[in-house]
Amino acid sequence: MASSFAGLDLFGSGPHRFAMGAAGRLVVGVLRPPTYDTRSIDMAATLELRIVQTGRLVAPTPAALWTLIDAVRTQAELPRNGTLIDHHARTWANMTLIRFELAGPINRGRVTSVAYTAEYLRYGP
Amino acid sequence: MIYLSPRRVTLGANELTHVSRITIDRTADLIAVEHSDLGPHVEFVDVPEQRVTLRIVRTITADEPGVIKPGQQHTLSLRTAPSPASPSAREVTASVVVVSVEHDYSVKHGLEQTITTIALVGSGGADPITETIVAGGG
Repeated sequence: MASSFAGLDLFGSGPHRFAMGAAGRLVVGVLRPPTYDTRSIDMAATLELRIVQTGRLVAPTPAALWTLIDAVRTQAELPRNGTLIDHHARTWANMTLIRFELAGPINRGRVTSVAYTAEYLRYGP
Repeated sequence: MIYLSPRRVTLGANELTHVSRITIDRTADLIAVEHSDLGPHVEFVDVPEQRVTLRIVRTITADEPGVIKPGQQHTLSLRTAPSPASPSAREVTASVVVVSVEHDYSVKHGLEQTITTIALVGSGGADPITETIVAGGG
Protein backbone atom coordinates (compact mmCIF):
# COMPACT_ATOMS: atom_id res chain seq x y z
CA MET A 1 0.00 0.00 0.00
CA ALA A 2 1.03 3.59 -0.47
CA SER A 3 2.20 5.57 2.50
CA SER A 4 0.46 8.79 3.46
CA PHE A 5 0.62 11.71 5.82
CA ALA A 6 -2.50 13.58 6.93
CA GLY A 7 -4.31 11.78 4.13
CA LEU A 8 -1.90 13.14 1.53
CA ASP A 9 0.27 11.06 -0.78
CA LEU A 10 3.17 13.48 -0.94
CA PHE A 11 5.95 11.01 -1.60
CA GLY A 12 4.38 8.35 -3.82
CA SER A 13 6.43 9.35 -6.87
CA GLY A 14 9.46 7.42 -5.64
CA PRO A 15 10.68 4.84 -3.17
CA HIS A 16 10.99 5.84 0.47
CA ARG A 17 11.56 4.33 3.89
CA PHE A 18 10.65 5.10 7.47
CA ALA A 19 12.77 4.83 10.61
CA MET A 20 11.83 5.55 14.20
CA GLY A 21 14.09 7.87 16.14
CA ALA A 22 15.32 7.44 19.70
CA ALA A 23 12.85 6.31 22.35
CA GLY A 24 13.22 6.39 26.11
CA ARG A 25 13.36 8.85 28.99
CA LEU A 26 13.96 12.56 28.65
CA VAL A 27 17.22 13.04 30.53
CA VAL A 28 19.25 16.22 30.54
CA GLY A 29 22.81 16.78 31.68
CA VAL A 30 23.68 19.70 33.95
CA LEU A 31 26.92 21.00 35.46
CA ARG A 32 26.86 21.13 39.25
CA PRO A 33 29.15 23.33 41.31
CA PRO A 34 31.59 23.35 42.92
CA THR A 35 33.26 20.65 40.78
CA TYR A 36 31.01 21.22 37.78
CA ASP A 37 30.83 17.52 37.07
CA THR A 38 28.06 16.49 34.72
CA ARG A 39 24.95 15.17 36.39
CA SER A 40 21.98 13.68 34.59
CA ILE A 41 18.46 14.58 35.62
CA ASP A 42 15.38 12.61 34.68
CA MET A 43 12.78 15.14 33.57
CA ALA A 44 9.95 12.72 34.37
CA ALA A 45 8.90 12.50 30.75
CA THR A 46 9.41 10.29 27.73
CA LEU A 47 11.18 11.37 24.58
CA GLU A 48 8.97 12.75 21.86
CA LEU A 49 8.24 10.31 19.07
CA ARG A 50 10.34 11.11 16.02
CA ILE A 51 9.99 9.40 12.62
CA VAL A 52 12.55 9.99 9.90
CA GLN A 53 11.61 9.31 6.29
CA THR A 54 14.24 9.03 3.56
CA GLY A 55 13.54 8.55 -0.12
CA ARG A 56 13.57 10.04 -3.57
CA LEU A 57 11.06 12.20 -5.40
CA VAL A 58 10.86 11.27 -9.08
CA ALA A 59 9.33 13.20 -11.99
CA PRO A 60 9.63 13.26 -15.78
CA THR A 61 10.76 16.88 -15.92
CA PRO A 62 12.46 19.40 -13.60
CA ALA A 63 9.28 21.48 -13.52
CA ALA A 64 7.22 18.47 -12.45
CA LEU A 65 9.78 17.64 -9.77
CA TRP A 66 9.64 21.17 -8.37
CA THR A 67 5.87 20.83 -8.15
CA LEU A 68 6.37 17.77 -5.93
CA ILE A 69 9.04 19.54 -3.85
CA ASP A 70 6.88 22.63 -3.38
CA ALA A 71 3.92 20.51 -2.28
CA VAL A 72 5.96 18.90 0.50
CA ARG A 73 7.56 22.20 1.46
CA THR A 74 4.12 23.76 1.88
CA GLN A 75 3.06 21.01 4.29
CA ALA A 76 6.30 21.31 6.25
CA GLU A 77 5.90 25.06 6.66
CA LEU A 78 2.24 25.03 7.80
CA PRO A 79 3.04 23.01 9.98
CA ARG A 80 0.80 20.10 9.04
CA ASN A 81 -0.41 17.79 11.79
CA GLY A 82 -1.92 14.40 10.99
CA THR A 83 -1.58 10.65 10.92
CA LEU A 84 1.47 9.12 9.31
CA ILE A 85 0.95 5.70 7.70
CA ASP A 86 3.77 3.62 6.23
CA HIS A 87 3.66 1.05 3.40
CA HIS A 88 2.60 -1.70 5.80
CA ALA A 89 -0.25 0.24 7.46
CA ARG A 90 1.77 1.02 10.56
CA THR A 91 0.12 4.17 11.91
CA TRP A 92 1.49 7.02 13.98
CA ALA A 93 -1.16 9.54 15.04
CA ASN A 94 -0.73 13.24 15.85
CA MET A 95 2.50 13.63 13.92
CA THR A 96 3.76 16.95 12.61
CA LEU A 97 5.94 17.28 9.53
CA ILE A 98 8.59 19.58 10.96
CA ARG A 99 11.41 19.32 8.43
CA PHE A 100 11.95 18.52 4.78
CA GLU A 101 15.43 18.68 3.29
CA LEU A 102 16.88 17.76 -0.09
CA ALA A 103 19.89 15.49 0.24
CA GLY A 104 21.76 17.15 -2.62
CA PRO A 105 21.34 18.60 -6.08
CA ILE A 106 18.62 17.45 -8.44
CA ASN A 107 19.73 14.46 -10.52
CA ARG A 108 19.00 14.64 -14.22
CA GLY A 109 19.36 11.25 -15.87
CA ARG A 110 16.74 8.94 -17.33
CA VAL A 111 14.30 10.86 -15.15
CA THR A 112 14.53 13.89 -12.90
CA SER A 113 14.85 13.00 -9.23
CA VAL A 114 16.19 14.13 -5.89
CA ALA A 115 16.86 12.33 -2.62
CA TYR A 116 15.37 13.84 0.55
CA THR A 117 14.89 13.48 4.28
CA ALA A 118 11.58 14.30 5.97
CA GLU A 119 11.18 14.40 9.72
CA TYR A 120 7.99 14.01 11.75
CA LEU A 121 7.56 14.77 15.43
CA ARG A 122 4.82 14.09 17.94
CA TYR A 123 4.92 16.95 20.40
CA GLY A 124 4.62 16.10 24.06
CA PRO A 125 4.38 12.70 25.73
CA MET B 1 32.20 0.58 -28.81
CA ILE B 2 35.41 -0.03 -30.69
CA TYR B 3 36.69 1.14 -34.05
CA LEU B 4 39.45 -1.02 -35.50
CA SER B 5 42.00 0.52 -37.84
CA PRO B 6 40.04 3.69 -38.65
CA ARG B 7 40.93 5.30 -41.97
CA ARG B 8 41.65 8.78 -40.80
CA VAL B 9 41.99 10.12 -37.29
CA THR B 10 42.54 13.73 -36.33
CA LEU B 11 42.83 15.28 -32.90
CA GLY B 12 42.54 19.00 -33.39
CA ALA B 13 45.13 19.96 -36.00
CA ASN B 14 47.08 16.76 -35.46
CA GLU B 15 46.55 13.87 -37.86
CA LEU B 16 47.24 10.63 -36.01
CA THR B 17 48.78 7.85 -38.07
CA HIS B 18 48.95 4.09 -37.52
CA VAL B 19 45.90 4.05 -35.25
CA SER B 20 45.08 0.44 -34.46
CA ARG B 21 41.91 1.06 -32.46
CA ILE B 22 39.75 3.65 -30.78
CA THR B 23 37.53 2.57 -27.93
CA ILE B 24 34.59 4.47 -26.52
CA ASP B 25 33.74 3.50 -22.95
CA ARG B 26 30.62 4.77 -21.24
CA THR B 27 30.65 4.64 -17.47
CA ALA B 28 28.68 6.06 -14.56
CA ASP B 29 30.21 8.77 -12.39
CA LEU B 30 27.15 8.69 -10.14
CA ILE B 31 24.55 5.96 -9.73
CA ALA B 32 21.36 6.77 -7.85
CA VAL B 33 20.04 3.58 -6.23
CA GLU B 34 17.02 3.41 -3.95
CA HIS B 35 15.31 0.66 -1.98
CA SER B 36 11.95 0.89 -0.25
CA ASP B 37 10.29 -0.68 2.76
CA LEU B 38 8.49 -3.14 0.49
CA GLY B 39 11.30 -5.65 0.00
CA PRO B 40 14.97 -6.35 -0.52
CA HIS B 41 15.35 -5.41 -4.15
CA VAL B 42 16.31 -2.16 -5.79
CA GLU B 43 13.30 -0.07 -6.79
CA PHE B 44 15.02 2.83 -8.47
CA VAL B 45 18.21 3.19 -10.49
CA ASP B 46 19.37 6.10 -12.54
CA VAL B 47 22.71 7.32 -13.83
CA PRO B 48 22.54 11.09 -13.57
CA GLU B 49 26.29 11.61 -14.06
CA GLN B 50 27.98 9.79 -16.90
CA ARG B 51 31.41 9.77 -18.53
CA VAL B 52 32.43 8.92 -22.06
CA THR B 53 36.09 7.97 -22.31
CA LEU B 54 37.79 7.63 -25.69
CA ARG B 55 41.13 5.85 -25.98
CA ILE B 56 43.22 6.10 -29.10
CA VAL B 57 45.82 3.36 -29.47
CA ARG B 58 48.43 3.82 -32.19
CA THR B 59 51.85 2.50 -33.11
CA ILE B 60 54.77 4.87 -33.04
CA THR B 61 57.09 4.20 -35.97
CA ALA B 62 59.42 7.20 -35.82
CA ASP B 63 60.47 10.00 -33.49
CA GLU B 64 57.60 12.36 -32.72
CA PRO B 65 57.43 15.65 -30.87
CA GLY B 66 55.06 15.44 -27.89
CA VAL B 67 52.50 17.99 -29.04
CA ILE B 68 49.48 16.30 -27.45
CA LYS B 69 49.33 16.94 -23.72
CA PRO B 70 46.89 16.46 -20.85
CA GLY B 71 44.46 19.34 -20.43
CA GLN B 72 44.26 20.18 -24.11
CA GLN B 73 40.79 20.37 -25.63
CA HIS B 74 40.43 19.18 -29.21
CA THR B 75 37.89 17.84 -31.65
CA LEU B 76 38.52 14.16 -32.21
CA SER B 77 37.41 12.94 -35.59
CA LEU B 78 37.69 9.49 -37.09
CA ARG B 79 36.43 7.99 -40.30
CA THR B 80 35.78 4.31 -40.64
CA ALA B 81 34.38 2.05 -43.35
CA PRO B 82 34.06 -1.71 -43.83
CA SER B 83 36.48 -1.53 -46.77
CA PRO B 84 38.14 1.10 -48.96
CA ALA B 85 35.64 0.22 -51.69
CA SER B 86 32.62 0.98 -49.53
CA PRO B 87 30.34 3.64 -51.01
CA SER B 88 29.95 5.33 -47.67
CA ALA B 89 31.79 5.68 -44.39
CA ARG B 90 30.96 6.64 -40.85
CA GLU B 91 32.48 9.72 -39.35
CA VAL B 92 32.60 9.95 -35.58
CA THR B 93 33.38 13.25 -33.89
CA ALA B 94 33.57 14.42 -30.32
CA SER B 95 34.93 17.35 -28.39
CA VAL B 96 37.42 15.87 -25.95
CA VAL B 97 39.92 16.83 -23.29
CA VAL B 98 43.15 14.84 -23.16
CA VAL B 99 43.76 13.31 -19.73
CA SER B 100 46.82 11.16 -20.45
CA VAL B 101 49.36 10.27 -23.13
CA GLU B 102 51.13 7.01 -22.31
CA HIS B 103 53.51 4.64 -24.07
CA ASP B 104 54.13 0.94 -23.81
CA TYR B 105 56.60 -1.27 -25.61
CA SER B 106 56.15 -4.92 -26.44
CA VAL B 107 57.94 -7.20 -28.88
CA LYS B 108 54.61 -8.14 -30.43
CA HIS B 109 53.16 -4.66 -30.94
CA GLY B 110 56.23 -2.43 -30.91
CA LEU B 111 55.93 0.99 -29.31
CA GLU B 112 52.27 1.79 -28.66
CA GLN B 113 50.95 5.18 -27.67
CA THR B 114 47.62 5.42 -25.82
CA ILE B 115 45.90 8.79 -25.73
CA THR B 116 43.07 8.83 -23.22
CA THR B 117 40.45 11.54 -23.50
CA ILE B 118 37.11 12.41 -21.90
CA ALA B 119 34.32 13.72 -24.11
CA LEU B 120 32.40 16.81 -23.14
CA VAL B 121 29.47 18.84 -24.38
CA GLY B 122 28.49 22.49 -24.09
CA SER B 123 25.16 21.51 -22.61
CA GLY B 124 25.09 18.37 -20.48
CA GLY B 125 21.93 16.92 -21.94
CA ALA B 126 23.30 16.03 -25.36
CA ASP B 127 25.33 12.94 -26.17
CA PRO B 128 28.97 13.94 -26.69
CA ILE B 129 29.52 11.50 -29.57
CA THR B 130 28.28 12.44 -33.03
CA GLU B 131 28.17 9.79 -35.73
CA THR B 132 27.31 10.62 -39.33
CA ILE B 133 27.26 8.72 -42.59
CA VAL B 134 29.37 10.39 -45.24
CA ALA B 135 29.48 9.59 -48.93
CA GLY B 136 32.70 8.64 -50.61
CA GLY B 137 33.71 5.62 -48.60
CA GLY B 138 36.74 5.14 -46.46
